[in-house]
Amino acid sequence: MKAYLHSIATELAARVQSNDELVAGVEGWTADRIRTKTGIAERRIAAPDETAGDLCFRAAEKLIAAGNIDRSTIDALIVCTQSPDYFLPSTACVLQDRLQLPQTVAAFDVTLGCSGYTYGLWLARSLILSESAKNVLLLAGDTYSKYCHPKDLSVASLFGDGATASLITDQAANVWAEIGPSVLGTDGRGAPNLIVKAGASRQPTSEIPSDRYLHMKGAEIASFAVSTVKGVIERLLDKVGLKATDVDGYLFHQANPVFVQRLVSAYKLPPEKVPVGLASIGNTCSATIPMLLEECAQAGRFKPGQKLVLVGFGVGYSWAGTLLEWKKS
Amino acid sequence: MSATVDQVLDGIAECLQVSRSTISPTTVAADVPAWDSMAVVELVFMLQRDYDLTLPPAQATTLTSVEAVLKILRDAGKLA
Repeated sequence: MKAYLHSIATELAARVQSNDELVAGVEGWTADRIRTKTGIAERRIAAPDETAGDLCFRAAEKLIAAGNIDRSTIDALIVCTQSPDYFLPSTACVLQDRLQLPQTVAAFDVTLGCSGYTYGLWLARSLILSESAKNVLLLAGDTYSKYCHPKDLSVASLFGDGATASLITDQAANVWAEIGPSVLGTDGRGAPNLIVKAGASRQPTSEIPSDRYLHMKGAEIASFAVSTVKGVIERLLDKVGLKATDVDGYLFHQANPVFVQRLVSAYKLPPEKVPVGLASIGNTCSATIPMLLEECAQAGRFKPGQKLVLVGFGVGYSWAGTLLEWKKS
Repeated sequence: MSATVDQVLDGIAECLQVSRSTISPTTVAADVPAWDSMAVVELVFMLQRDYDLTLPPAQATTLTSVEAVLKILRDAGKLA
């Protein structure tokens, strides 16, 4: 039994927010500074009444239409989001109905951010290898812009809103890639470094306005990434018996283009093996890796047989690396 | 690699994107407007890239002076 990535579809929030628009009225920031420091030229912003669930829904409909996928064959639905439609029920339950999936489907949310897609691949593959499912619809989407204070450009400049839909299947026909093993990890000591403190059960309300918005300690997050991602790659390669020279591509969580380039440079990885993207979308959290993967697939960047290492890392702290063997010609 | 103080100061100036003359062994973040949280991120990457030195996340917050950077390198035996 094997698990395959059949295809991916991407859906972006419609509104484009330029750096010029973002910095208007905010002292100490310029559009050029944002572009230079992050590589982000513009970002997608969800409408006030548009949720991650809506974006996931549209991505799923695109995927189903493009692949002529029979909805009745989907037996598991995983929605990875940190921007759920409601505290309860889960967004997956809402989307089971909206997508008209069978009532026999197992549907649940995974509340992870930047590591969410690689966790989702691990989970979907595990369901298939254990013969618990044959076709898993993996949706990853977020609307972090709604968590960002409009004047806090240290975060508002980075995040964009969008979603992806991926079909993970046990059938080898016409697939993009075979999904290999994963390595995963968690360090909850990093929880305060990327957090929305107020609004949930621990702190339902706060008199401190900033507690209701996304708070990020950038230096700690960068240090976490630098100190973690290399180990994830090494653990994964050790697990699957490959050497670094066997890897044809590294697809990292796209925190922002400059961040990824700095990581490449810090690890002395061959830049040509590390695609960098989403400069006009922003950091869409769990959706950055599948968006980049789709972009690469459409561009014909990978050849059959090539080995790709995917690494998601961030909020939690949480991280996961997954091996793909490319199949699509 | 082992670096001289001058080489480290060059690297810090590059991370902060300021003139080299702005940076001395006694410079602290408060002296340089460009020494913000994004600059600290650049310093974290520089330490890994140029000195193969991985900082524990909590230590990243201590990168608020040239002396702090030099001390980290000195303690790691990376300063000539």
